Amino acid sequence: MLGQILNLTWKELIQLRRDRFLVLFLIVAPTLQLVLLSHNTARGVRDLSVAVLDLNQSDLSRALIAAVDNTQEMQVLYHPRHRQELEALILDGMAQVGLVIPPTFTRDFYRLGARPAQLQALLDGSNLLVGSNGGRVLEGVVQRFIADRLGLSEQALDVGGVEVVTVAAFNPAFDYRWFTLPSMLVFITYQVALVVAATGFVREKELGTLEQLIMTPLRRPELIIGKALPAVLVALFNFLLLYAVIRLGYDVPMRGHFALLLGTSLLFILAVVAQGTLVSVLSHTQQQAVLIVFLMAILEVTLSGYLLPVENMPLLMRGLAQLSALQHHMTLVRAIILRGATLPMVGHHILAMTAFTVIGYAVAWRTFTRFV
Amino acid sequence: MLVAFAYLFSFDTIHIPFAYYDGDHSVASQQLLMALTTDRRLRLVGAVAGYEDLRTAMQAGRVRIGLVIPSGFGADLVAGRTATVQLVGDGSDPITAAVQMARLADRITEWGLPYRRWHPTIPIDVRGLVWFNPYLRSSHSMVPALLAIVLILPGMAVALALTREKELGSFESLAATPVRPVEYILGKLIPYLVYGLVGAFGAVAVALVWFRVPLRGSVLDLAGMTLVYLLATLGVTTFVAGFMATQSTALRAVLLLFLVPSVFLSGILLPVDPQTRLTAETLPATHFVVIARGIFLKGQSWQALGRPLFILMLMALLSLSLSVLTLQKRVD
Repeated sequence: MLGQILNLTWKELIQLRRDRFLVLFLIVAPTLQLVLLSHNTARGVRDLSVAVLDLNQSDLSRALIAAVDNTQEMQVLYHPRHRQELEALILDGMAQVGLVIPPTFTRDFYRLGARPAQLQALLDGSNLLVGSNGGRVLEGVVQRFIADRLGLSEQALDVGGVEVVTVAAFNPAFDYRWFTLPSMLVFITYQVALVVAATGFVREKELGTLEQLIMTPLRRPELIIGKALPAVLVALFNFLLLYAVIRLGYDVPMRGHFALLLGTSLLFILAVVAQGTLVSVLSHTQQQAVLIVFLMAILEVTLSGYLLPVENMPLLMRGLAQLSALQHHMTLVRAIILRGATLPMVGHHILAMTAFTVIGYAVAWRTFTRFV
Repeated sequence: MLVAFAYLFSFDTIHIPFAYYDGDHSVASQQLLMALTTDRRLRLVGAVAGYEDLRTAMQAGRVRIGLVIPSGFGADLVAGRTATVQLVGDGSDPITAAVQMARLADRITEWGLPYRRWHPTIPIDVRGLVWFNPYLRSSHSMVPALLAIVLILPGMAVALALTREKELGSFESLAATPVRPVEYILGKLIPYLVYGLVGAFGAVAVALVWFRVPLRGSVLDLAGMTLVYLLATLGVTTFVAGFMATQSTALRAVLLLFLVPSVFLSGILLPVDPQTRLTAETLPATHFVVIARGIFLKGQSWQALGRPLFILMLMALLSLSLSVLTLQKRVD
């Protein structure tokens, strides 16, 4: 039985190799993609572009602008001359933060007016990170600026109330790559496994060669396993390659056990290949299979917790997310790599993926038997 | 399908798993916790015994944010000194942690305002004003941008339809008919364009009715620019499909060259980074994200969005004429 399966697997691998573009897409492209995409997400809330409308034009206002520019989070790029120009910069998305320094800034600052100097900050709320963090950053800058200018210690400015200090556990530097790279590792493995598995049977069906395969002495389970193995091997190879790139190229920490990561990844690949095989057996044409896979990929990516955390989804969607192997594995990989989670902590994810694998193959086998 | 997809993005109910450590046990700390947990935004998991306990709970994924109230919190607050609390977020998802902690920190600071003394030595007052999305609703920011992703689907379908004919060999018989390449490509594209527009109409309706995303610009502008975006994506996928021999390679090409970079690079989640701006600019989705947010949230007109519109038109024109040319060559 094993020999039969391996024969079929070998045939599939030879077929895969014939397609030159396919080899390119399976091996070169994922790595390139990872390298390319990792640059984007490295920074996060850094270097927000700021436009300052300085109506005061004094030493004090220029010092404040320099203080804003000196932060890691903000970068003063534009100096509009009037209000319309400032608003246009924000509207166009050139500037993410707008700061207006009023004409009476210096006078009010040194208490020649009756009220404190008012600074107006305009934040672009169409991007969430800017909208939620820009104001806090500015307030911090202003606090330090005041203390610095008036030669006061921070205590002298103590007005009471509550101060909140924020810390990110497991990722003290708020490095976004630690989040995006493991997510991409999972996503790229997912798409490779899914696509190879989904086009396996239906391609033979469409080209009319499935009949020939059925006429061979291969039995049904052998046929299904033999067809699935190449997808598993290719995806596993991709996973190992990308894991090496992440660890060696980007210094992402590995806080859990590699054996646990490897084991769960293999299980994940099996679950995804089962999903793909099921699509392949159920579809009549490749176009159908591929469109289903594409839709599935879009849906699963949105449910995966990458774009928004699962607990923020409405109830129905949280339920659906529990049915997605991609979501389980994304959660699991972050837990193992970054938080050093151990087997008992991620047990329910493993259980879910095992269930998907068993059910997927069982249904595929049933359908296939009926088809024949 | 589009409806189901857009439906995912209703984030207005927020259930962040939350735990606290109260080292103060004062009236003030109890009041703060009450104030934070009475609305349903935070899902209170419970109290933790200390940092180690919090870390373990976070490791297992049971808790996302922890609040640590140190002893002396109540005394400081009542005495008019600044009382400090610490928020610990799960850094394995730093984007979510940053947004959620910023919101929670704002609420805590606001709660502490009545305890502030009027202090004559504070010479600057910062007035923050969030434009376009004053309540920072994630759905208002995400749903318009996600239109760019949903509308890649017609492009995918066209790439498959074109390679399918090649794979099944029916392309040769078509090439033998007097149909010219321009007619062939346009004839192939128009049904998918119509399908894409209908889909876009549905998705926009869902955005407006279900998510209550404000549409501050004109519907006509949105329709016209969606059409241009569809032309650009269809054009690029048609061009790419021209080089692919089988449906499975076409699928991979579109997934890897198009969908994945569009999800990660086009500025949906994080602002477009200066380092990858060039790559991002080559993706139609990047420009459509600017357009969709512009029309929906900022109320911009097509004149104000001239740059992204022009680039999309250029992409559509270029890719379509290149597709026709390569097809011409293959037929000859």
